[in-house]
Amino acid sequence: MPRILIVEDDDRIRTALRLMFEGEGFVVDDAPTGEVGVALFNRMAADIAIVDIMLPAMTGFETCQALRASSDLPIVIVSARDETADVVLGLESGADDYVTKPFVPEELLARVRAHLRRRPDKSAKAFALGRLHVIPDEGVVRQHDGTELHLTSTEFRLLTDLASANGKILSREDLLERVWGYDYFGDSRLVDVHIRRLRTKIEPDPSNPLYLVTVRGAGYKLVL
Amino acid sequence: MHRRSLRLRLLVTFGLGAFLLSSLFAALTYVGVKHVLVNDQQQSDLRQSFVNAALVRSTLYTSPPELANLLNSIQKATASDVLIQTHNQWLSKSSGAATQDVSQEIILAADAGHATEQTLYVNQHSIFVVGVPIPAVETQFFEVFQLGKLERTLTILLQVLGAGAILTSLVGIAGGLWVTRRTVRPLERVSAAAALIAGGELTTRLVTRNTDREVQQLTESFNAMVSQLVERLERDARFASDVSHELRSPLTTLATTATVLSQHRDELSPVAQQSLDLLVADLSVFQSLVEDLLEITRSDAGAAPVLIETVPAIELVRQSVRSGAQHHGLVAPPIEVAPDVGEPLVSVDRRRFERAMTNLIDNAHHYAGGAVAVRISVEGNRLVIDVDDAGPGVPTDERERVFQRFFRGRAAHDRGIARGTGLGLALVHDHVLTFGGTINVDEGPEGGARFEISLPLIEGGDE
Amino acid sequence: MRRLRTLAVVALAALALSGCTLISASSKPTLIGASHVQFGLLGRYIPGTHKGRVRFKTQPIYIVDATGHLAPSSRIVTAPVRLTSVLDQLILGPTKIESFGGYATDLPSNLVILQATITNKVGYIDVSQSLAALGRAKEVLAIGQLVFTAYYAGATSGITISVAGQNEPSLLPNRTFASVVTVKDCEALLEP
Repeated sequence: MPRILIVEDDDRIRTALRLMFEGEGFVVDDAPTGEVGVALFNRMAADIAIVDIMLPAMTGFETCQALRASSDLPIVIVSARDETADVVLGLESGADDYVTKPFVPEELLARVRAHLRRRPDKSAKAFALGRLHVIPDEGVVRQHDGTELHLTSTEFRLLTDLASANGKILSREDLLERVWGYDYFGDSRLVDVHIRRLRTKIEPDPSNPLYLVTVRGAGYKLVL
Repeated sequence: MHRRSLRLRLLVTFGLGAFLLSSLFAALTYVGVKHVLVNDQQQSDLRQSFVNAALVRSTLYTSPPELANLLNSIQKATASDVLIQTHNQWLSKSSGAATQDVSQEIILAADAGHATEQTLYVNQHSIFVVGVPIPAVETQFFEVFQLGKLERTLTILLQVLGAGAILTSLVGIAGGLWVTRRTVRPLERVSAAAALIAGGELTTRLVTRNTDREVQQLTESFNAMVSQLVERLERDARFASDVSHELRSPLTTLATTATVLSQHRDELSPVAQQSLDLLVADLSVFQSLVEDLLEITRSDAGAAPVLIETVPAIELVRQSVRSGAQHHGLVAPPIEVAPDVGEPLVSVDRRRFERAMTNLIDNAHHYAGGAVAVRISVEGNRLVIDVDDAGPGVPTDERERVFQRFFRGRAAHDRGIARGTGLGLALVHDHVLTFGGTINVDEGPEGGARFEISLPLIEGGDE
Repeated sequence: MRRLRTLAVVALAALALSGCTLISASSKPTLIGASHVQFGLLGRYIPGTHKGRVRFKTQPIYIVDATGHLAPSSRIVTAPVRLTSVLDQLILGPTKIESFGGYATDLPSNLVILQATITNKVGYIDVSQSLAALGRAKEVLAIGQLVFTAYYAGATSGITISVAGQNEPSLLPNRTFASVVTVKDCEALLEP
């Protein structure tokens, strides 16, 4: 049974979510604050986390960072605001996806399931990217000096999907579908922010990308 | 009464006023001076005449033959002609004197014993004629004075005053221009600023270097007024936005709880089940309403920035339709692309475009049993997207108003239950306008409604 | 209201402009009040004298017309008529207009009347130059002019002409000489 961590300060929403996910067969760890959430996670590592941005004391962003530091579990942030700044900040803090309130509960369910379902494609072949070595079946990226580059699972999937396209241009919609599993593209920001984060990690000069190239009006492609 | 330019009126008033005043002043001065000068001259001439007449009298009394010499020497001395008459005949006159200069009336008056004077205009010159009867010597004495010198003086005076009047008028006009500029310019600035503000540039404020107190006051008051109005507008917009925002959390709870209940639907009694169904149905309407409200007030309050990107139009439409239909759990209508369309590009905000398409499909579903097709074509330099249905269509008199907020057409009332939120089409309208496009509703080829979005095409692929 | 205003402005302007002529002529002479006339010019007598006045009379003088006959013309002389003033006028000759009409005088214009008196109705005229130098015809006419002019000036019994004090017999129309010439002697010289 999948385990889900819900960090939400609004009691009613938290309770409702707990009821819903339990009704769908999840084991639910729910926490009213970030600190409790992190503590719960450290004790009982969940498979996926839903974190509200608006938390007292330890903010949602900080909670994300804390969770991300110890695991690459999928994190979905929930926000009452749809500001791009918040979204970007959330994704930069380590989240894989975001949802705005009020959300359609069924949609949230679907997304959670999609994130849980997607696993790195281990059958993909390892490839080199400049001075980096990408090994999909291990789910790691090794640097020149042997150290591992830390990528979230989403970032990893993004990279491998682009690689498997063999230099073909993938549109944002394609990427959203492949990596996140949806086909509505109001959230192309998801793709853009992740690409940017990926660039800062793998490109020698992120502002002048050599590998992860933008094709204006079309999408992205990986140059090997 | 037709409107006249204030500038023109001020200018005319100043110019005309200056002209009139200076002319009047010049004229009055001239008339006054002329009167004095002429009078003085005449008085002095008259006195001269009396002196001369007395001389003539005494000469006639003492030595009449000397008369002619006397008259000539008078002429030499005073440049005036003297004529003496007696018994209706000319007795003597100074050399060069013209008897025609003395008018009959003066002669008659002198004969009658009256001393008279007259100013005459003879041979393009003015002359002053005096007639004095000297009964003691049975003669009538006439003296003709030339007024040429006086005429010259008056001419110069007239010219100088005239020039002065014209100069003053010019200065007046210049003054008028200056005053006009100083007074009318601020007014023009205010009206320009007001026009800008009415057009939507709410950050417009008046700035002026004019240091006049009234203008400063106007500027300050105007700016204060605009700031207040803008603040009020923003407050109002924020209010709606804030209210909607506050609804998020409770709505989330409601939606989630409804889902939970649905999960346990089988455990409920039939009555409870029915109640749950109603709850869930209305909840989704409520949710749509809040979403729509949030969306529309966000644009009003300027809270959601517009992200314009250049995208391939057909791909955009395809995916919008698909996700829009899925969002509402509907079947996506087929997309028909006209053969000569090619690879058109448009500049839109993707999220808003998808929202617009979703709303149109939803609307078709609510009122027409679903959209029949979404048709893409190109007309000139515009991309045309038609959402056609086979429903009852939109009545002609409602076709303009159907895009207004909270508009409920007859169709909505006919349905019994208010299905839509009344904001769906308004949102479509607002969003399409943001992309620089237009939206219209007409009769569709299948007999129902045709909602037509027209967007400008982008040349080539750039940005 | 607006029309009234423009009308007033136009009227004012017209008024002002009308005064802007140069000296204006008057159609009728203006009367000068008797009190304004100085030196007692309108008085009956000359001031400073005891009933002093001057009167004029119209006197005939005789000049020669185009046919060569004597013809009268009137001149104004001061009253009482003095032979000298009348003869002075005679010497001046015809007026321009009379000259155009063919009138002339046979008396030389540079003739000076040295003296002219009337005693016992006879006029004693002393002239500066002899008339004999004029030629017989002219001399006769000249003398005739003097005779007739003097007659009406009071010398009814005839005249005696002297040249610079020297008595000179005058030539008569009948070719005889006489020291006293009367109008009867010169009747023939008149216009028939």
